[in-house]
Amino acid sequence: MESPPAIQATDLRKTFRDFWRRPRVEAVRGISFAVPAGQVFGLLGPNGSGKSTTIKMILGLLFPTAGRLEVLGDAPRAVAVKSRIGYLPEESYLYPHLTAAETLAFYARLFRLPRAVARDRIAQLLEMIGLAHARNRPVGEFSKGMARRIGLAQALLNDPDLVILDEPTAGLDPQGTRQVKDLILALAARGKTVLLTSHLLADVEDVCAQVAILFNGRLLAQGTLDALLAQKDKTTLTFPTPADPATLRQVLAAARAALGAEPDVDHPRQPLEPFFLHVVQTAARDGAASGAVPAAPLAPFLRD
Amino acid sequence: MHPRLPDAVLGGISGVAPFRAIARLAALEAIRRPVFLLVALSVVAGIVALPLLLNYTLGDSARMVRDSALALYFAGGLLLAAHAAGEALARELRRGTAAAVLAKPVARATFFLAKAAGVGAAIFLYSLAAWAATLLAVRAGASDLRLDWTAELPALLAVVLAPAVAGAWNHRTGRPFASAAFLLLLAFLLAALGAAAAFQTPLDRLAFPHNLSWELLEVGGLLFLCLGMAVALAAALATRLSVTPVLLLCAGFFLGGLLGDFFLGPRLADSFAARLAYAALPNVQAFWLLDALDGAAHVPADYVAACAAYAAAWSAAVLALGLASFRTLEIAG
Repeated sequence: MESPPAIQATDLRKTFRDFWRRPRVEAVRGISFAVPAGQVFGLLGPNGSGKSTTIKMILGLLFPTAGRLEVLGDAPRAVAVKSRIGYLPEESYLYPHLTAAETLAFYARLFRLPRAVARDRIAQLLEMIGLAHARNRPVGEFSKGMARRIGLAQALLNDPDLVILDEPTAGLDPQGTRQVKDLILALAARGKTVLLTSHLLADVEDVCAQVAILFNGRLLAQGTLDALLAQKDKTTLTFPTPADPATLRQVLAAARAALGAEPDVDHPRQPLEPFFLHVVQTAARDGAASGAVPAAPLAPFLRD
Repeated sequence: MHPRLPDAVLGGISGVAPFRAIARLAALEAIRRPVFLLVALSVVAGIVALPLLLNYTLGDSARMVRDSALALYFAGGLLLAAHAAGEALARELRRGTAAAVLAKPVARATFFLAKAAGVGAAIFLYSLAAWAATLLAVRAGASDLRLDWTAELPALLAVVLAPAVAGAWNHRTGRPFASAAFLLLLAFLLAALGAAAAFQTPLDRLAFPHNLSWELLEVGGLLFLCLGMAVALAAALATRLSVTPVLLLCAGFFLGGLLGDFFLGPRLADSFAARLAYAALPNVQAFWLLDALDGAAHVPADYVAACAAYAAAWSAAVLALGLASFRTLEIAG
């Protein structure tokens, strides 16, 4: 039997009003979508399209003007359901005077984690995000990327069923970005549902099974990446470059004769990200590390 | 699976641990703000300097030191209460930290009440420091003819040493300066008070039988209750307003409470609006007992209990209004 969606929005609307209760901005205009359980779902759109408003309604921070919204089978404002959600805000909203470890300990207390469990998870998460060495530094002194990593760690403290990531790779270097993407895929492989927003479409393409595109508060497109992006009227054929150029000419002539159209011929390019990571990792192995601490694999409590 | 509880229940209660964590952090954040240290240090320095300034005003110096010290304590406390509560809610709502916390399994009631409790705890610590400084100043200035340096010198040293030691500690460890300086100030003042209480004042030999004016314990306690009411009001207002309007409205409310008897008293019998305004305004006069104090008389315990009950009821009513406002607040930050 198919499990119910993690998030179900039906004709969801949100209108912001001014002091006199007059409608000021119609941020979300009757959108309907379902985030299937255990999948990575991307909510895309330009600035002001209604993504953050939708996420804040899912978290019960904003209240829908109309429509219906269910999160993990419950109302978004129910306190109990929030113990199953992990949330990384767009900005890493942290208390600047707390150290990295104190910040995570504070959030662990909000989840009412037993002290020993909290201590273990904090140690594992700090290791995972590569900030174990900075556990006693106030987060107010952190760079944006480091603060983002702490934000990510606090979102995973409770081993959530639903992870909501608002611009999760913003401010991260390519290695951090790759790690976050690997983390998202690992979470999905464990049956967790991930809802993310991002302006970085390449990142979305790497991790999302489904996307919804918002513009001006309306839902313009929704579906799996394959369904939305595949060009069914074209076919790519990849094979090793023949040593003899005449072989390639023969193949092209055959294709031209069979299809009655001129095929495109090109050498495929590998994406920049794996190339960059390969170069940097090779340099790091050769002792030319820039001082950044490489992050560890997925925290054990997230793997079990 | 546990039985489903109505949202009104789940929405109102989310456990003791989150409450304690948020309250503790609110108290820490309050005393880590530079403005908190600035006001607390200024108030304590002002109180401690009073015997130096007011000595030799023949016949009235002890009373002037006492009244001025308590006035400074109250005015500084009012400013801190309004500012700290405003910062704890209004600024966190704007900065986004409130949204990050409320995205966790934390009921809005827990968040709001814990913030108020945390700020209340910070104001308690401030009150303790100001009260200790007042006791020391009153003892130091008890005589019109000479200062009691056994009380004055440790108090002055506390004011000077606290920021100096905190500065050195901050330089060494990088930990927050403001909270360290404030906590050291409190510790030094309490140590000075303990030392002063242990030693007889030389003035005793001059037939001025003052050691420490313990009757100020109840007076200081009553002022703290009044500051607690200010915290409740500021927290309620901060659910919808930013810090500056919260400060202004709190000052207005408490000024109104101070003058309520004078302006509203004569109209209470025949005006419903006057009765309503009188009930809504905090009755500050009831907590300001200096004019009624005679010599070393203690405030009767039943009076203190009645004031505590009034402060608790008034604060509970104001917090209930604040909570109603906060529960329907849309958190866009």
